[in-house]
Amino acid sequence: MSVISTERLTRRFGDVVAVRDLDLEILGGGVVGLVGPNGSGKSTLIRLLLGLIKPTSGTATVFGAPISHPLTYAARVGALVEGPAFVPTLSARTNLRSLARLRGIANRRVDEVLEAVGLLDRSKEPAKRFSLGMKQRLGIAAALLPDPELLVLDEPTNGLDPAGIVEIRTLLRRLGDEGRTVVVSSHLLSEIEAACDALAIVRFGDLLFSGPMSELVSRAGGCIEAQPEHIADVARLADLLASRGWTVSVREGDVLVDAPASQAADVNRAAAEAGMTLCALRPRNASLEDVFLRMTGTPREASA
Amino acid sequence: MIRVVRSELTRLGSPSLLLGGIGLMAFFGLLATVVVFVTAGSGSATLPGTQNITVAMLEAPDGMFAGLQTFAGMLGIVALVVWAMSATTDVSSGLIRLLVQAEPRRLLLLGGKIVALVVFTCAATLVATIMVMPMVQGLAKSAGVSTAAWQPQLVHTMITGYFHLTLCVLLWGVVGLCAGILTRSAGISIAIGIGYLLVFEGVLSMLLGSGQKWLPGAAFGAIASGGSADMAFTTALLLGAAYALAALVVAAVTFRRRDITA
Repeated sequence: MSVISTERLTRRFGDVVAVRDLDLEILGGGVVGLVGPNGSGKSTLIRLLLGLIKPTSGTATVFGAPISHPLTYAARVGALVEGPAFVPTLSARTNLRSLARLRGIANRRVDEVLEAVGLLDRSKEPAKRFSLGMKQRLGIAAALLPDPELLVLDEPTNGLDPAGIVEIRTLLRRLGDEGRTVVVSSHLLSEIEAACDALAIVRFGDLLFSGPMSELVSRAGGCIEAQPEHIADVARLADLLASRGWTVSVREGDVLVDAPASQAADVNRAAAEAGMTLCALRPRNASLEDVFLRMTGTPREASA
Repeated sequence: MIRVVRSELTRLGSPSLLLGGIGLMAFFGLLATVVVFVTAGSGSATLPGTQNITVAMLEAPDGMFAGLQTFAGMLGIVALVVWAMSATTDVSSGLIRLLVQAEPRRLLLLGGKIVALVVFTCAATLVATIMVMPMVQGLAKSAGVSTAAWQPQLVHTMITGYFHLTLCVLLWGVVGLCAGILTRSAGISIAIGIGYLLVFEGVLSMLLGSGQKWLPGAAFGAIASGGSADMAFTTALLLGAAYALAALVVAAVTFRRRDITA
């Protein structure tokens, strides 16, 4: 059974279409990544699913209930939307108690979630004294309060140090393995790649891909990385190869050619004929990031 | 509803709100009482809807409340600030996302917030009253005001005085909540409240002449005083309730329909 299902879901803000005719289905269990460049509609989609905003058109359900009646599923969902939010002068524990009382949850659950995110020892400190990473953990703790079947986390690793990122990734993995459905939005593709079982890629409100991670990576195939001797030739080489029919993208001084390794000699020959010397030419397997960049065509935003 | 109220009261227990709200109300209560007893009979101007205080008024059975009643608007402004901040902080901190997600019945959320703020405001007004009362005797003595008429109905006067004062303060709070929900900005809400009380209603009063008694500040002031020369207490109470109801309807409709984009 699908936990989340949308059908031609659209949300406009004036002239801006944040989510456009989105058809998406997320099945129960496991960690699902929601990926897209900044401003691609991820947070809007999450707000729609949580009943914080209303769709302009289209329909969606969560646990089979329409998003126009979020009360039906609110107790089964925990969420962290666009960063943690707390009363800064109250302690972490009091902040969580306030939310627990709102949901009718016993106080002992507060300590359980504080322990789960590694904040139990510092739970008496005011939230304003917390680092960004600690606030992020507190936000995740708040999302975990209702012991949710569906956990929706918007950029949960923002502001975390590498150790914190690994901790949260492990936590997400554990929650997913327990049978919960964890939807994680992020623009940090490495995080998604490491933690998720399935993926949905959105750009400017459009769904570009939805399915298992393995399907996306196998669909990606390989590419050739060509590096001109002079950095000034990067754009010229990209234009040249594109004019010869290859699909190319540029990243960090390299031209990525969407082609199998057997065509590396053709790429080299084309560059030489145009008077450009390549200082590196290597075949490589496409990473999730390559696929994402090819799909979204927004390397700068995606790698930000 | 009880869950929502308990949750709101937990957040209202924030030290800044406790110290700011209750502390300021007690401070203004003390200040108002001192000013009234020191300046009694001098004809100093007061706030809209209030009367200039004479020594005879201070010697009346409810004279001990003259300061709090005369400057009830100032205590009302403190309530307006607290109520407005309670509404706007939820938005500015992003907490509203968590609250609405946890309890999608927005009117229930708003209702719970109002009940919690009423409890908070009643407590703050009580603290202000309790702090003022012991000081009044000393002030009366130093100002040469006879307190003979105060004693026979002391408890009754204190209860009704507190009741009237609290009603007035609550009405200002409702205005603050409405302004906070509409503007989503604590600064703008507070500026609107203070600007209205201290400037705008004064200008309107000059334009309206005798019709000024129907304005919110005048009506709320009359409630605090248990009625005024211009308006009976019951009339003022009905008018105040009408203003509050209108503000609550506007706030509720706005809060229920608005997208949570914070």
